[in-house]
Amino acid sequence: MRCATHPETEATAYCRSCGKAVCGQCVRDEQGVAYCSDCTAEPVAARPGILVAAEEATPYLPPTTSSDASEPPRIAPPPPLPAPVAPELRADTPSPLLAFLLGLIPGVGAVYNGHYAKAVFHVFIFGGTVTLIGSGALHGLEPLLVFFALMFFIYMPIEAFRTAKALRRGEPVDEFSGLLSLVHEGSRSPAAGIALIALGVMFLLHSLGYWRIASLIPYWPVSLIALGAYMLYRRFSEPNWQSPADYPRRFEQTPPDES
Amino acid sequence: MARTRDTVRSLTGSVLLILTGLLFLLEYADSYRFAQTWPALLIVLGVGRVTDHLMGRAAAQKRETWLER
Repeated sequence: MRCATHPETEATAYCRSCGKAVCGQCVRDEQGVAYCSDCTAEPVAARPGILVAAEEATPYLPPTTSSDASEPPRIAPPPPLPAPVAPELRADTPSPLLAFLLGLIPGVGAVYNGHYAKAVFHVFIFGGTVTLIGSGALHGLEPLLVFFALMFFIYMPIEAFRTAKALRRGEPVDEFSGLLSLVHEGSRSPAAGIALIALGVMFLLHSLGYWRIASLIPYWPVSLIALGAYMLYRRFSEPNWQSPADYPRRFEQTPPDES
Repeated sequence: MARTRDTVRSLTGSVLLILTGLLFLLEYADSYRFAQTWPALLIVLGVGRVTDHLMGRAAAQKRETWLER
């Protein structure tokens, strides 16, 4: 999802008031709730999200301990506020539970959510994997693909469930956000892409008979060394690295002073 | 720049489809089984992702130099 005003940047939040996608540059934070710049320009009381807080806050009344009780209160009583509006859940969207159950049949969960192209992809990926397992031409790679098929079989209902929940909350759902996230999502590190290429080359050489993946087995401790080296690299490459205990806690910040 | 990145992303999907078709055609021509050639799809996916990353970095650099001016 891209920012509505900056199409070149990824959105970090959705405006609570109008649902527009906003990036870190456009987001306006008000009492921990994200809004877009248009909606913060509106008067605060006009937004349903704020009404609850406004109603809970009792207006300041001058103490009545003074002897002169007949003096009218200096502050006029606030005008009655309209009833707070609960965040509406859309009833006409798919039920998450039913989406999960239907998702147990490959592709049907996505069809139920209205994502037909995704359903076709799910059927092709799952069916293709099962076909490969049954083809008998994998030369010992069957367990790997069996586990992938199992993982994908569980992934489909979970994905359908989450999509249905997001639809119910009224969030914009990109049909391919979950499916092709390998291609779509952030480009901070090319590691996943390089790993995909390496895996592809290895499997291709293996299945064409030029090389056997099993010949890697004696070198498995290299993975431990690589993992350790990567952890060291991460530890020292961030100049302002903080221990998690030092992170400011968002909801325990001191309230802004009123002055 | 964002437009060209979107092009790369949509290209990846279509190239994957074309490649799948070609691999099944090869199977029909009895030269290679799809069970042997399927990792080529992984390679295309990886190449698409790395290209996307490189273009994103180029776009960021361009933006930075533009801001510095």
